[in-house]
Amino acid sequence: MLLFFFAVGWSNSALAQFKLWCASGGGDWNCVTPIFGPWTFIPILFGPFDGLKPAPTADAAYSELSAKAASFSATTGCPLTVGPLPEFTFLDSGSHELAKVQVSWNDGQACINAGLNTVSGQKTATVEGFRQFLGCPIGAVRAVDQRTWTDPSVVCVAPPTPQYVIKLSRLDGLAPESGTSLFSNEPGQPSPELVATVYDEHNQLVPNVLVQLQANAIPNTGGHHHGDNSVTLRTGTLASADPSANLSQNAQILSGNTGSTGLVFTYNAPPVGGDNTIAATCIDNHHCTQQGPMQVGVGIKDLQPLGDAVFQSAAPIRLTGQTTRHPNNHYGTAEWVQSTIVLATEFFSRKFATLGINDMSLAQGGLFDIQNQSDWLPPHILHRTGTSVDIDRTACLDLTVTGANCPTAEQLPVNFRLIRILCEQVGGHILKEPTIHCQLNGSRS
Amino acid sequence: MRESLVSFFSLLFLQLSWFPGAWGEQVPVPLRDVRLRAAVAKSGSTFTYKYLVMNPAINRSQIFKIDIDITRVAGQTQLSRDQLVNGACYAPHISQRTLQRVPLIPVGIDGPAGWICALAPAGAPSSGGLASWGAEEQASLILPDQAMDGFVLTSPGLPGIRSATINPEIDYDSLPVEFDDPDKMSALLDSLTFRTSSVGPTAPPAALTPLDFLDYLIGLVNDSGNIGWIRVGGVRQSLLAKLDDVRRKVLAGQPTPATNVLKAFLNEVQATSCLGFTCPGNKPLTSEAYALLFFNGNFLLGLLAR
Repeated sequence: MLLFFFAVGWSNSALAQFKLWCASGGGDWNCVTPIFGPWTFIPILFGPFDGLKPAPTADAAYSELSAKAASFSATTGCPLTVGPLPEFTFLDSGSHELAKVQVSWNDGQACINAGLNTVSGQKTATVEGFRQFLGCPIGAVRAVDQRTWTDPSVVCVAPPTPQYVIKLSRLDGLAPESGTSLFSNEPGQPSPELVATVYDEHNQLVPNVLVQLQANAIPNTGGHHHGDNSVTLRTGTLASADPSANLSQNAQILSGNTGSTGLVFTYNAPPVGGDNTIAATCIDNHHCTQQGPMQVGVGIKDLQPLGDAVFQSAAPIRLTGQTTRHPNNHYGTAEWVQSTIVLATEFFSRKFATLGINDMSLAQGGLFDIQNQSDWLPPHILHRTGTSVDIDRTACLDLTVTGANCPTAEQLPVNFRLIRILCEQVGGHILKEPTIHCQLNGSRS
Repeated sequence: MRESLVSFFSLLFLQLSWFPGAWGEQVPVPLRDVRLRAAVAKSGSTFTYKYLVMNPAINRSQIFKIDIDITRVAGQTQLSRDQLVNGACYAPHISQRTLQRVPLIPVGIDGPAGWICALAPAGAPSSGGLASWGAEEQASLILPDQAMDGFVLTSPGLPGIRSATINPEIDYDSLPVEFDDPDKMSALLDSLTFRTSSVGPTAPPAALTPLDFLDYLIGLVNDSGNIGWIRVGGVRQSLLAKLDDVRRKVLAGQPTPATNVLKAFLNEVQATSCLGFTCPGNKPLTSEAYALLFFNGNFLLGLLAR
């Protein structure tokens, strides 16, 4: 049995090389497996006429070879040692292969008499495999590859498979957001109804195709440079009311029949902001490629960075709280960014110290998971909509310091009451947190 | 003995309701019966609004912040900011940004030492603006059974009835853990806000007839009575009767008799009003009623003279 797999495995390896040719030079035509007869393996110890019989497997042929050597040793007193059967070398077209077996003798005086003429030495025996090319499968024709091999290789090629296109669109007919983005949604919100539709090469709708949709997250988007991007808290989930629809246990993969007009489904955005894709494939005999927008943006639109050319490295603001997991943590709505700047400027004009502005929101808002041990989970309950700001409890009197590393001697404890006044006077309110958290009034949590 | 136990447990329950959660945790109690008194004087074309804040002894919290609505609504005259001066408490950056975003009656603002004052957005759901004072230092807070003046607005805007809010000091670190929930915290802040009415600057409508303004003045008399700024019903009736007479004469096309009756109204207001926060004889009209009725009555007099 082991031998059988060995032989089949070898011939598959050869076919894989045909596939390489197909891939590089076959054009649109598809390479298909030629039809061969069964392998026959011929062992040759001393020459083609040493009387060894062909065998159906390489191992059987090798056994025959070994038995012949043993018999020779016993009869002549010349002790032959047969080496292992090495891997076969492909010779041509998938129908001829060869393995060289080392046969040696050492200190055998009888070997001179046995016709080997030396006390010690070695020679090469072989096991050769042959099989007959019978033709190509129905619908395929024989082609010859003369690029790679000295001997023409046998390749069967078939006409191109009909190509189909699967597209995602909004059921309400609204245009996609861009050439790549289907739509954008706020974290945790369901999408508009979407539809997966299959078209032929003439752009005609093809009904009743089995399709599969899969939600994926694009790593390092949304300001998150960490965690397992394959979990549903990151990817979002799919859903469909179509009776043909099947949903995977984690609701990331949806399959169903497109029926007469397409498979209708929805995408539930995760609580985490970021860019996600919905990959669509055909899972029946239609050969589909996905075209059109497949990306879904999850986030709060138009958040702006607090840090810019002016404020990143100068009074009145020091940006703090950046981590490798969330390197850009100072995004807010245009209004809240301005409010934060005004708050810090007012503080600076009174205390001549720079406020440490800690976490605001990530670039696309959504869940801001600050604990290293809890990817995609709170505790930052707020900080999702660009309307929060954490303020460090110490300001810095050294105006050259741009980040969190204010020397102890230059640290100024922040008057909480002053920040509360300024927070409320820019339209916010203070919440109970370890840092000083100022939240825009009326903003969503 | 049984009654003593019941009393003991009742007291304990009361204490727990004031101090829920673990020891040291404390939920602030809403302010009650705070009085925001206003007295208005005019010099040239500028009104000076002085405020006195009184925190009664029944309260447990100190007063931290005072806000008075100074929104300018659509259709009101746009008044000049010229010659308005701000005091040392003024927060210029916050105020400038508010002025760029929110339509306000122009004011100059000043406050007591240790307080920060600014023109601030009212915040959602309102799109208006506030004159806002906040106590920066512990020593500046208004303790129970204390009063503090020195809160001042100057403005060309006529006195009108304005809503005001007063907020207590909160020890955030002592709040029970349930207020880590932002929604509960916001609800708590809202519940702690003391809401009242006071007098503050406003502006007359840009398109204005004497009759419209007379109706507005009649409304001010009624509102002043309802709020308690006219303490004697008879005086209120007398004032309303005079304004009704003015109305009849205006409708009859008799401007001079109307003007004379309005002058009599103004004389009565002056005679029956306190001009400051306190006055001898406990006169029927408070300084708020005086500000509203005297200065708006004078404005109407000017309209009738045209």
